[in-house]
Amino acid sequence: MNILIPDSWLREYLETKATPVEIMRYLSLSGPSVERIIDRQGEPVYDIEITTNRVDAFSVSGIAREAAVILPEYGFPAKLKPPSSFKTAVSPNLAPLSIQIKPDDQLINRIIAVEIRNIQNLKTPDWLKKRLEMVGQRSLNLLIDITNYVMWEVGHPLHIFDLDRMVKKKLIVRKANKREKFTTLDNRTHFTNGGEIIFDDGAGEIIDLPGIMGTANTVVTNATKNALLFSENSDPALIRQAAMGLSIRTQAAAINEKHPDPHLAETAIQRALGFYVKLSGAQQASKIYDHFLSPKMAPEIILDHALVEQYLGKKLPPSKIISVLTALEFKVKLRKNNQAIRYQVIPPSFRNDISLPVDLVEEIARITGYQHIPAVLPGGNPSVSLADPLLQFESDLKHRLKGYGFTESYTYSMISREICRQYKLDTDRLYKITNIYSSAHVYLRPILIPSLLEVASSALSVRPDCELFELANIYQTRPGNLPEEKPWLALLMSGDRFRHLRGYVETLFSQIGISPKIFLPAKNNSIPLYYEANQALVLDQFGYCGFINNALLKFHGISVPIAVCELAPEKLLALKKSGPTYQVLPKYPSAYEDLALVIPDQVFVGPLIEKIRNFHPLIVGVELIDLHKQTKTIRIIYQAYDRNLSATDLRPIRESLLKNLKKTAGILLKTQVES
Amino acid sequence: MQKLLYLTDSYRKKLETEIQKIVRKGSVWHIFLKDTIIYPEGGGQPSDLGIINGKTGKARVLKAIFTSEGVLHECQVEGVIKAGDRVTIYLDWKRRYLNMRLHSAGHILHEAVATLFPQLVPVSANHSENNTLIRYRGEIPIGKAGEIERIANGIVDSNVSITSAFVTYDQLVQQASFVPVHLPKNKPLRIIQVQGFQPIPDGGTQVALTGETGLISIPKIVNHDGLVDVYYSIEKQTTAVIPDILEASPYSVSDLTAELIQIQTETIDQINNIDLPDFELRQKALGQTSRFSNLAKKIRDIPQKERSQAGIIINEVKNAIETALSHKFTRKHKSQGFFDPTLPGIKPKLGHLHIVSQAIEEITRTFERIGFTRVRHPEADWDYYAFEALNMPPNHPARDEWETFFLSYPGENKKDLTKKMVLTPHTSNGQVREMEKGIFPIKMINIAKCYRRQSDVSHASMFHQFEGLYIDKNVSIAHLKGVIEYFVKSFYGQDRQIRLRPFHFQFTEPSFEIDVTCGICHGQGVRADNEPCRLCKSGWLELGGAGMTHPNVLKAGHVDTSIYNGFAFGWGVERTYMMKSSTNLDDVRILYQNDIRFLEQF
Repeated sequence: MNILIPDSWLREYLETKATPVEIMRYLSLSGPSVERIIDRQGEPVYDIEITTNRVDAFSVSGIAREAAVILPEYGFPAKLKPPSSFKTAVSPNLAPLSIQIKPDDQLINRIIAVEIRNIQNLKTPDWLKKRLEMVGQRSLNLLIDITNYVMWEVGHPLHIFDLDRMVKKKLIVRKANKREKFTTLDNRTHFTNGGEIIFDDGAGEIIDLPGIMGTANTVVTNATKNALLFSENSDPALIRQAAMGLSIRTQAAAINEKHPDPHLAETAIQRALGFYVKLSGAQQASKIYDHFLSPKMAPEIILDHALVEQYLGKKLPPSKIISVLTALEFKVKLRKNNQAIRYQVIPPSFRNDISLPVDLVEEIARITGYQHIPAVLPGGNPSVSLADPLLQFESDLKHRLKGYGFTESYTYSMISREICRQYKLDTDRLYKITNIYSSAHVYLRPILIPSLLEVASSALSVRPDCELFELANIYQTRPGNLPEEKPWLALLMSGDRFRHLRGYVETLFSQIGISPKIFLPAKNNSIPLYYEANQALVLDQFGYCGFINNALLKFHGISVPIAVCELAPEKLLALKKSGPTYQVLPKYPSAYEDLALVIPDQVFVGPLIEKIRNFHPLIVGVELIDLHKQTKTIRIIYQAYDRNLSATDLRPIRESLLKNLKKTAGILLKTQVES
Repeated sequence: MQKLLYLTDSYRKKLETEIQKIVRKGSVWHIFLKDTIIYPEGGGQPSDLGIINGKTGKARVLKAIFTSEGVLHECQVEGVIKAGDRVTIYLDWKRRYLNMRLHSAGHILHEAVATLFPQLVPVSANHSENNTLIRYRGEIPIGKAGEIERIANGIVDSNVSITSAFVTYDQLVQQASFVPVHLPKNKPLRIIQVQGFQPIPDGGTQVALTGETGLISIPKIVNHDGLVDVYYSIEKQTTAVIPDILEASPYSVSDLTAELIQIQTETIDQINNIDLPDFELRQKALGQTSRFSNLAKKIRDIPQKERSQAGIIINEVKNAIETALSHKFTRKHKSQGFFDPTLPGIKPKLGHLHIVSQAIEEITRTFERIGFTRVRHPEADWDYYAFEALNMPPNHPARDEWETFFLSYPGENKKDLTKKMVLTPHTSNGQVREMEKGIFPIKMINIAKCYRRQSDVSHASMFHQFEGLYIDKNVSIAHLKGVIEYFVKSFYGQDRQIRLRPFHFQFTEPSFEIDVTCGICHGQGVRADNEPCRLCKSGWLELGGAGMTHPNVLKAGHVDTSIYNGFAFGWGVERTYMMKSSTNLDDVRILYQNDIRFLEQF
C-alpha cells in the first residue's frame, strides 16, 4: 500500500539537509520504496510504497524515523525531532468519562478515550486542509479532519463520536451476531456477517464499527458541541475479517488490520487533543480513560554474529551491527561466549514484524546497504535434478511446427460460459473461478480448440488463410482434487486443406521417429463433438484430426473450412525415438512403377496404400502421386539390397497384387477399365 | 517442319508435296518444299538431283543444300511455280543409288578399319565418285590395305542389313561406338547400324543390304600429317537385288521417334518463344489436342513388339517438354528481355514462435548455464502451496498483494478449508513442492502461467513467471546477487542498470525487489515525445521480488534449517522480456490478444 508524504510535513519530524531527490533515492535503497515525487501545489510529495509488514512506517513520523537512520549511512546527517507540541495544562480535577465503557480484552487490547466539550469552531484552517488535500484526503469538517490528520502523522487511527448523540451513555464492546443492521457514516446500510467487533449502545444498537468506520447514528455533525475522542487497538485478524466481509476498505482498516503499535494510540490521542483544544476552542472535559491490557513483552531474539556474516557474504564488525540496531531503536546486548559472538536483541514496540534472527539480518543488511554486498555465483555440489524430458520435447515440437510455417498463439487458460454452452461442455465438471474478473474467463479450459478458433477467426479477418498452433495445458477433471494439467498441442489450418494438415502431422510423426500410421476415420462417439464426425480421424492414443463442425464455425464467425489436429505431447514422447537410426544405403538402384488404379467409392486409400506397402518384401515404398476422380495413381517403389531388380522380378509381384486388389476390393487398373 | 523423307526411306523416288516458298536469286530459283526426298549435300555425300513437277511449271534441281530454314533446292524453273502449288518430286535415282552405295560402302569400310585399328578416330569422309576416301586421325602401317579389303568384302558378301533409326542424344551416347563432339543435343539424331556392328550417327542415305554396294577395293592408303586417308572404290554394277523397302516397311518406332523428336524440338522452341499464360502454354504443348498428344496416339500403329520401346520414347519426349515448361515457368520474368533484379523476392512461408515461448527458452537457457534446471509445478494449486506453506496463513493481509483467482471444483467439500484451490498468482507454489522432493541441493527454475485479477498496460490477468530456488548449505545474499547479476547481464547486456530495494515478502527474509532501468524510456521516466513513460515509474522497472527463503517456508518443505538455507526469486517472463530494449512493447496485454499481425512480428 502506498502513502503520500508531503516534504514539508516530513521535515517537521526530520532535520536534514538532504534534498527530496536524495531522500527518495536513499530511502528506496535501504527502506521504504519512494516510487516517485509528485508536485502538489509546488511542493514535493513523496509517493511511498509501504510493505504490509511495516505498518510502523505508514505515517509521516514513521517515515521520518526510517529516514533519520538511513540518510546518515549515505553521508547525510539527519535527526528525528518531535513536532511542536500542543500539550495544554490539564486540570487535575477532571471527572471520569460520562460514558460507561465495557471493554472485551479478547477483542481489543487497548481503549483510550477522552471527552471534549464546548466546541466553538468547526472550520478547518487552510494549512490543515491543504495538507489533507496533498495526501489525497477530502476535508469534511474540523472534527473529522483532525482525526485523519493525526492518523496520517502518527500512524494510528482514531475516531470521534458526538457525545450528545450517545444517548444511552454506554459503549459495550462485543462481537456482532449475524445480520445486525447498521448504517455507516457514509450513509450505507450494512448487515453484519457475525463476528465483527462492534460497539453496542447497551440497547442492542450498533454505534460504531471500531477500527474501520464510524456509524451514522453517532458521527459528529456540524451541530456537534461535545465529543468523545476515541482510539482502540483491536485484534487485527478480526478487523481484517470484518473489513473484507463487509467490503469496507478504509485507511483506518488498512492500518488496523496490520496491528499498529498500541503505544501509538496514546500518542495519537494526545496529539489530537492538542489540536482540538487549539483549533476548535474546546476544552478537555474528562480524565483520559485508558484500558490497556498489559502489552505483550516483545520477545528477546538471539542473533548469532556468524549468521549475519553468512547472509551478508562478508565480514561486519560487531560495533556496526550494534550501532545499526540501536539507531533503529532496538535494545542490543553483546554476548561473547568463547569464539561465538551473539546479540540479545529486543525490538521496539512498533516493530512487531521482527521476531526471528533473519529479521534482524534484514535490518542490518538494508541499513548497511545491499549495494555493498558482493555478487558471487554459488558453488557447491551440482544440482541432481534432471531436466524434464517433456519440457524439452515440447520446445522441440514448437520449433518443428514453426519450421513447418505454423504461427504459435498464447491464449488465456480460461473460457467463457458461452464457449462451454456452444461446445456442450458440462460446466459442473469444470474448475470455475469464483471471483471472476472477466466474463470471457470463467472456467479452466478442458479443451484447447475454442481458444485456437478465436485466434483463427481474428486472423482470417486480416489474412486470407492461416496456419496456427498452440501448446498449452488443458485442465482435466479429477473430482475432489487438483485438475490434471495436461500439455496439449493443437494445430489449425484454414481452408479445405485436410490433406496438408495430415501431411504435416505425418511429417511430424516421422521426424520424431514414430512409424507412419494410417489412422482410421472416427466413429461418431469416439471423437469430440466439435469435429465434423464423418470428416475426422482418431489418431490412436495421440489425439484427433479433422474438420470443425459448421455450427461452431458459424459461432466463431468463420466462413471457410477449418481443419485442426490435436496431439498429446506426452503420448508422442512415450514413443519418440531418441534419434534417427542410420539406414544402410542400398548398393543397387530401386525400381518403381506407377499404377493408375480405379478405386471404388467408399474404399479408403490410406489402408490400401498400407496394404500394398506390406504386400511384398521387395516393396519398400508406396506413394500416392496423383488422383483424379476415382483414379489414383500409386507409385510402388521396389528395392532389393542384394541385386538389381529386373522386369522379371517385378512382374509376378505386380500381377499378384493386381489380382488381389481386384478380388478383395474391386480395384482395377485404369487400362483394364477402359478396354 | 519439313519432313526429310530420305532419312527414313532412302529408296523413295517420288513424292507429292507442296511448295512452301520460292524465291528468285539471279538465274536460279530457291525452292523450299513442305517435305522432300532430295538429299542435300553433306556428310561427304553429294547432293541429289531431280525434277519438281507442278501443274503450271517444272523445276530442275541443280543442287540441294541444308539451311536453317530446311532443305533449299536450287533450281532452274520452266513455266510458273509458286508457293502453295502441289508438286511431285522425281528423284534422279541413278545418281542417288550410286551415292548411296558409295556412302554405305564407306561405312562398311569403316567397320573393317575399326576392326583392325580400333584406336583410329574418323575425321572426315568423301563419298562422292572421285577421290572417295575416309580420313582418320592416326596411322595405318603399310601393307594393310589387302587385309582391310578382305574384311570389308566379307561384310559385303554376307549381305547383312543396314538399318537407320532416330534417337535422342542420350540414347546415341549409350549406343554408338563413336560420338562426334559437335552433335546438337536438341535435334533428332539419326543413327545407322551395319548389322553386327555398333550404331554410328549418320545423316546420309544408305542401302538396305551390304551386298548392294558391290565389292570394295582400296587403291591406296596415305599417311600424312598424323592423318591417314583410306581411298576406296566400288564395283560399277552389282548383282544384288534391291529390296522393295517401301512396301515392306510399316510405321516403325524409328518413324515415330523421328517425328516425336521433331515435335519435341518445335514444341520446346515454341515454349521458349511464345508468351502465353502458363496454363495455355501447357495446353498447347501437352494438351489433348496438342501435336504431341496426336502423335503419341500413333503408338497404336506401331507393331506390338515395339510398342513398349515406343512408350519409353514418348515418355522421354514428354518429360523433356515438361522440363522445358517448368524452366519456362520459373524463369519467365527473366526471359522477357529486361531483367529487374529489384523486384521483391518471393518469400518462404514462415512460422513464428510466440514471443513468450522465445522468452521462456532464453530464460531457461540462461539459467541452465549456471546449473539451474527447469521444472514444472501446478498452475491450479491448493491454497496451502500458494500461500500457507509460504508463511501466509489464512486471512493474512499479505495475501492481498496478489489479486488471486479462487477456484471451485467438482467434488469440492466447501467446509474443508484445507482444500481451497487457487489459480496460482505466482510461481512460488513450486518452492515447497520442490523441497518436498527431498533432494538437495535444489537449483530449480519453475516457469509457469500465473493469474491475477488485474489488467492494465503492465499487467494481463494471465502471465508467466519464472521462479528460481536455490537451497544449499551456507547460502548468502551475495549468492543471490551473483545469480541475479549474472542473469541481468546475460539477458540485457551492459546498458541496463540494476538495483536492489528492500522489500517484504512473507516467504523470504530478507526480501528485496530487483529493479532494472526501463527499456522504453531508457531510465528517463519520460518518452521521446516528453510524455511520461506509460510503462515505468521514474525510469526503473521492477523485475520482481527476491529474497532469502524464510525459515518457515523451509520448515514447511521439511528442510532441516540447521543445515540448509537458500534464496528464491520470482519474476514475470513478459515483463523481463519486454525490458529488452529491442522489444519496445508498451502494453503487455497485446501478448495474449493473438492478433496475427502481432504474432508474425516475432
